[in-house]
Amino acid sequence: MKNKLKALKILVFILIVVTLSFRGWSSSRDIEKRSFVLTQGVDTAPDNTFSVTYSLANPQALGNEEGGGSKGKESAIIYKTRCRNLWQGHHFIQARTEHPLFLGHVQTLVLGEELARQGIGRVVDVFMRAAETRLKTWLVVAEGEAGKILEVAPKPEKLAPLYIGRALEMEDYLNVIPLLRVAEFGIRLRNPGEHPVAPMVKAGDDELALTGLALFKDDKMVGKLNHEEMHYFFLTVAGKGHMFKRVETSAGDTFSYEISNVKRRVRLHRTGDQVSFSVLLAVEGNIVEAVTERSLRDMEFLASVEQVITEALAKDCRALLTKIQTEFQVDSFGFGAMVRGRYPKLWAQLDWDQDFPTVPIKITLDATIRRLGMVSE
Amino acid sequence: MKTNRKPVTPYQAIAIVVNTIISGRLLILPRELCTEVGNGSWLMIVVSALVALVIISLYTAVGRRFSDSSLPQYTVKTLGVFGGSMLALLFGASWLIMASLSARIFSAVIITAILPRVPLEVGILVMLLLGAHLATKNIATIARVHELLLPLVVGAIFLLVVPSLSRVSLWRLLPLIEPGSLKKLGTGILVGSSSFLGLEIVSLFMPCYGRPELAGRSHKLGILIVAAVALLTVEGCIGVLGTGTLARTQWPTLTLVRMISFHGIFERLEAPFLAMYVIVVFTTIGSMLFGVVAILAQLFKIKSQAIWPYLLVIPAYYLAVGPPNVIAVEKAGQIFAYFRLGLVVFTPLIVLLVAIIRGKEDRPDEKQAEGS
Repeated sequence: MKNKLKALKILVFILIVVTLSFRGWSSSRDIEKRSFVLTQGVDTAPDNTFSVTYSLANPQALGNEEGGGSKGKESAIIYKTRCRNLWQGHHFIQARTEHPLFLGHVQTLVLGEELARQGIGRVVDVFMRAAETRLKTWLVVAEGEAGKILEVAPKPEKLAPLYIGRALEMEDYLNVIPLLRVAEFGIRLRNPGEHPVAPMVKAGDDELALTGLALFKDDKMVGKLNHEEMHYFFLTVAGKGHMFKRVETSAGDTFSYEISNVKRRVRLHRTGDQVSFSVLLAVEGNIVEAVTERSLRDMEFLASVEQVITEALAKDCRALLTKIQTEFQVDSFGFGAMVRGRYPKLWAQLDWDQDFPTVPIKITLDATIRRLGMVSE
Repeated sequence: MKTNRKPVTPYQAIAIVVNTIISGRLLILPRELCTEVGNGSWLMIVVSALVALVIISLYTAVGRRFSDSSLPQYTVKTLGVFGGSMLALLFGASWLIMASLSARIFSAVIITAILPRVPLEVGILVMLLLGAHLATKNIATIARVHELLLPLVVGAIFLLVVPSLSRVSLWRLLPLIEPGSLKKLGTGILVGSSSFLGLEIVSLFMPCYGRPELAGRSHKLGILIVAAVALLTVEGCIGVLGTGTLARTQWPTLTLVRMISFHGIFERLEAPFLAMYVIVVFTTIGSMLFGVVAILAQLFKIKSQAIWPYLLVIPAYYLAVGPPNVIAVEKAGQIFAYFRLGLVVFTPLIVLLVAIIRGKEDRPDEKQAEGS
């Protein structure tokens, strides 16, 4: 009797497990029966609509002939549609594809400049709300239309939609820009005292280029920095923005200085209800090009070159700060978050968006030459 | 064959406390606390951990006084058959509801995040059946299961949450306490303390402790481990997401995990995280259903618990599928947690008070006399 009961228990347990498992498998889908969206582009369109572009991977075109690839096929297939909301666009494109669209591999979300200026809160909300999307997706703003960016097939990349993401990862690797993913954008959008930024890209005939940085106030783009200004921005805000700086001394000697390390220190000062900031940047770098008759082994001359570099970098950083404070009037630096963190009661009294343009911010920069390359002078 | 009547070791006692308390609630706790007190959430965890230490000390004291009785037995001994049984049944009912809510919340997470086409009901049933299966086992087996799974649960949570700390922004953690947020101190502590619920399960295991003199130490260590996990998770969520984003993130702990990757090995960690979380929820539901089984078995003198615990899945399932949506689940869960917190806090106080007044306790000589 006891054995029969045990056998019955096992049988019932197996039956339940098998029955439930059948339902549990309903989410499974073979990898070749999915359509992988690699890049999403969103633009504004007339009549308050969106123009949505998807770049889908075409795995058949990726292999060589021996490997089973289909010669002549594009590695990515572009789908474009107009819609009233983003999910409607998704379903319109879904209706034109063989397999279910999968957003789990989206590398880059490209937004048109016009849309960015109108506000991208809706787009970011959709992206953050969906569980399937990658939070590590890059968010970039296109100079012009986002759809054009997706249509470009850069020569070096076999799978074109991966190009932007990889190029931006390379920029992060080279310490030019920090990781600017969609999650970070969404987070900055919601947190007091922070405003998001996004890299800007431009499409050529068969190439894409990182052209600068879009600055946002809340979810609306309010200004853009060119490539050089972007370097100074990240130098000031994140200790990144490593770059080359060409300087010329009063005697006509020219040098190219490559920034290799930045130590950044921001101090917040308070006098009554007034706050001010001092930003100290200790920049280290190497001389990578020198056009001079004098030797850099001469310590006095070396110090004078360092001084020239310091003045040039500081001037450009200050010019950038003035531009952001007075022209765009947006605290993309995140100084507001510092005030909120340090003086929460004062923060509650401030209208930071109004106050930021007039807040005194002092930038002090000290450039040091560390190495001269493989040449000794 | 000689069987050990007191099989639970001090390490297993720690594991029981930790595995029972850490549940699906950890997935929403950062948001719940942040909504109430913002950046001051860390303080709520610290204060709540102290409250939990006091509560578990009360259960330890009652357990020591009634060294051979579990909760249903000592409530009957002190409050009489009717009062004691009713109180014990209230505990049983609260554990059944907690098991249901845990299954519902976890299933909602699973079908939202990784298995969108799986019916909610399937997720709930699987978790409840697994829990019921554990509840059919004896105390020694359950204690061993907890012991085995403790490093997996705590280790995996640390392994997956710690890498996200590299993204923490110091300024998002500040101010440590927002002005005006202390007005909500009471609600914050209530929310925080309710996240330690489940600790009362020790009242069923204590009579089986091999070394009851170390019970206090094990229980406190268990609470401290839970507090460390909760603190790390809450501060990680605030530091990475910031209070503005955190307040509108449905499952912030999962979002935190979604933001990290072990470069080149795992691109997306939510699937392994949730796979590990099955264990977390399984141990909680298993403990809760075991509690219901133990109370019913002891009150109604049921000797075998081989089959009937599976029947608990039926009411638990209907309780779990009852709320229409995730918002209703959370609201019901919050109200229920406050009621349960009252039950968990006042029961040992009343029992201890009555036991002292009426001179009730388990005396070793009584037991020996019963034995002879």
